[in-house]
Amino acid sequence: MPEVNATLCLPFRQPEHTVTVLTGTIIEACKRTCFRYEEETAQVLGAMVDILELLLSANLIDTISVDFGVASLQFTLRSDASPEDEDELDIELLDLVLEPPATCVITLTLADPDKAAFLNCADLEQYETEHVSVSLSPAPEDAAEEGEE
Amino acid sequence: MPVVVRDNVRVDTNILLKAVTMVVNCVMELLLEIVFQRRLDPAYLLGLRKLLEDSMYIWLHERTLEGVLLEVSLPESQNALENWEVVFAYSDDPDATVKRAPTEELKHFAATLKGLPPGSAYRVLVRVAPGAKVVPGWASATRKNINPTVEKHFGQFGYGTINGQLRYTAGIVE
Repeated sequence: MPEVNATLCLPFRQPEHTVTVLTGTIIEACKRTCFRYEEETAQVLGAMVDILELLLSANLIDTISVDFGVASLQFTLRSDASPEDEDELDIELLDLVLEPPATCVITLTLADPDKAAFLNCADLEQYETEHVSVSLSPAPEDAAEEGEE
Repeated sequence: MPVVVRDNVRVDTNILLKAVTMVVNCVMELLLEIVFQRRLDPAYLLGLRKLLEDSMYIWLHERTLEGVLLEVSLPESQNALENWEVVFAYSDDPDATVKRAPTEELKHFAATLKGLPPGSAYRVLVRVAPGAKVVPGWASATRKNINPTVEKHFGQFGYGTINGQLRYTAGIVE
């Protein structure tokens, strides 16, 4: 199963820009995997724009994974990026998918789920559709500890 | 030679753009963290977020933004309970050092503070230099008095030609 890793650099980009790049790359992933519900995916992501921007502003997202079942795409959000760093969005490997995916599961791994809930960003299930689902996941304990001094 | 000049201008513009973006991101991260740590209603800040971000881009670009204040008070009181103010400094020589937002320092400090009185609210005020571009959505306001009892300056953040620093002041409840 193709597993593709991508990187989005945060500190020197506007959240709006990052969400635009993220959305565009996921839609491209739909095309490359021949996921039939690309429009549905676009609708879900479009509805989530404000929440994604806010979660990025609060520096709450560690990773975003897009699981097509037959392939996966994981974005790592780098809040430690330097001004010269560029996003890494090489997802051509998804062309190797032979069987069109039936569903798409988008999972946001959060550094601080409590804060996300406080900011009214925890109810992502409302954006789910028949073939595209959205969920939140807390960051692994180890990763959370590493993030602290 | 004109090509060199154009390249220099482009590089400077690039640094300025990155500096402004980084500083705006830091300010928003800090304000959201303050509201969370002090258990203030986030609705006001979430409603203001777009306007505040867009306005900061304009005023940081023209170097007229002097400060952003999150003022905590009891609505009926003339005095503020807490001031969380980010003040900005501008330089002509770009600094390549990236100074991140002092979010962890803020978390540790906030953990030492007592809870706010019930009914505490807040508002965001911006301080701009004379001649700053008028941005629709803002009205003039006067900050409340504060009788300082505790002051704390956090580590500076910024990049390129812009630096920010968060300053905390606690007042007396009357």
